[in-house]
Amino acid sequence: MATSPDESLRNILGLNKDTTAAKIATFGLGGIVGGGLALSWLQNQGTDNTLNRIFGIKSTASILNKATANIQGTTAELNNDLAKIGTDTTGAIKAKEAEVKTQISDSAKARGLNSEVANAAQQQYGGSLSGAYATAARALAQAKANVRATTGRAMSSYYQGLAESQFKDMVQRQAERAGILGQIGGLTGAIIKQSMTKTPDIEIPETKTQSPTQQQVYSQLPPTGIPALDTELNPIQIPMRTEA
Amino acid sequence: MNDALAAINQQYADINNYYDQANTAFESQYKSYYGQNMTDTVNSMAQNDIFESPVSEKALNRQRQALTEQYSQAKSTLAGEKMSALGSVNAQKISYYQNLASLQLQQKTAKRSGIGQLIGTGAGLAAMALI
Repeated sequence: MATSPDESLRNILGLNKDTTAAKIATFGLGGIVGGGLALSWLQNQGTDNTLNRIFGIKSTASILNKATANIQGTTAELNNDLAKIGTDTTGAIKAKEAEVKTQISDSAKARGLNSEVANAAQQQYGGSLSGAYATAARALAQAKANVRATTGRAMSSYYQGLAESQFKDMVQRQAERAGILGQIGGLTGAIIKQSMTKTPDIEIPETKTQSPTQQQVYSQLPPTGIPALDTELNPIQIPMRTEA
Repeated sequence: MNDALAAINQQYADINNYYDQANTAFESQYKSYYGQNMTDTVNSMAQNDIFESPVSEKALNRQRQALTEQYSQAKSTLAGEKMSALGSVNAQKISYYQNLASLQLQQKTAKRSGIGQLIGTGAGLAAMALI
């Protein structure tokens, strides 16, 4: 007679399917094996990445790395913009300074003043303008510092959120593992509990030691819900019908 | 979310356009202002019988100095305003990328929870198959 795979397993492991203890052991073994497989699978980073690929899920690292790269790129663009604004502004001021110096020189010569007077006027003007240029440069530097402080606060807030996200992801992964193992354990426990409260199969053993009276009783009783009789114990006493 | 990013990038473009126009307008207005002020100074000296002389040159140079200081002050103020505006938009962009990452992480968590339930159910069924 062909044996089923579970019977083969029980035979190999020396478990008798007819005892409650064997059933408990079998169910428990299945739960432990299933739980072990799931745990080792989950703890394998390569499998974890495979799961992400199969289900089209981005890994936490890729999400956060992308966000960090975008933010750093944005900040780099801003720094370039600030530098360009500063360069353009100071360049325009210097250009205006040079233009006005030329006007001073040309104006002096046009009025017939000698070059010494013109040069003296240029020097005086140049000296006084350096103060204005320095003031403008200071104002630009202050504006740049204010902008960088605003950006720095935003970056700081992002990096704090980044650390929090990484921590939450770690907690979530642990909870996933615990949840999966809990489900396996709960299912196994439910099966074990069910097997311990299950009503045993009804059997009516046929024995050659049955008395004729007992045979008559069994043949007359309906075929439902009859507890098995142990012939070693006292059988059910049925009063004999006395014929008048 | 892409619409939000497009709106932020549009702000960048709008700020650059605005300040380019503001600078062009300022340069044009300053040129007129400079010329008008110098003319007024010459006329004022002429009314006081001060004509072309070292004295008049000094007066004109002082006027040129004052006008150029105004120019540098105005240019640096405009530049500072533009820097501040760009910094504000940059902070918006950082906040956008932060929110985007947060949403993606939430999506990922939800998907993995579903996978976890599948694995747990499969493991339980495997346990039953061993019975």
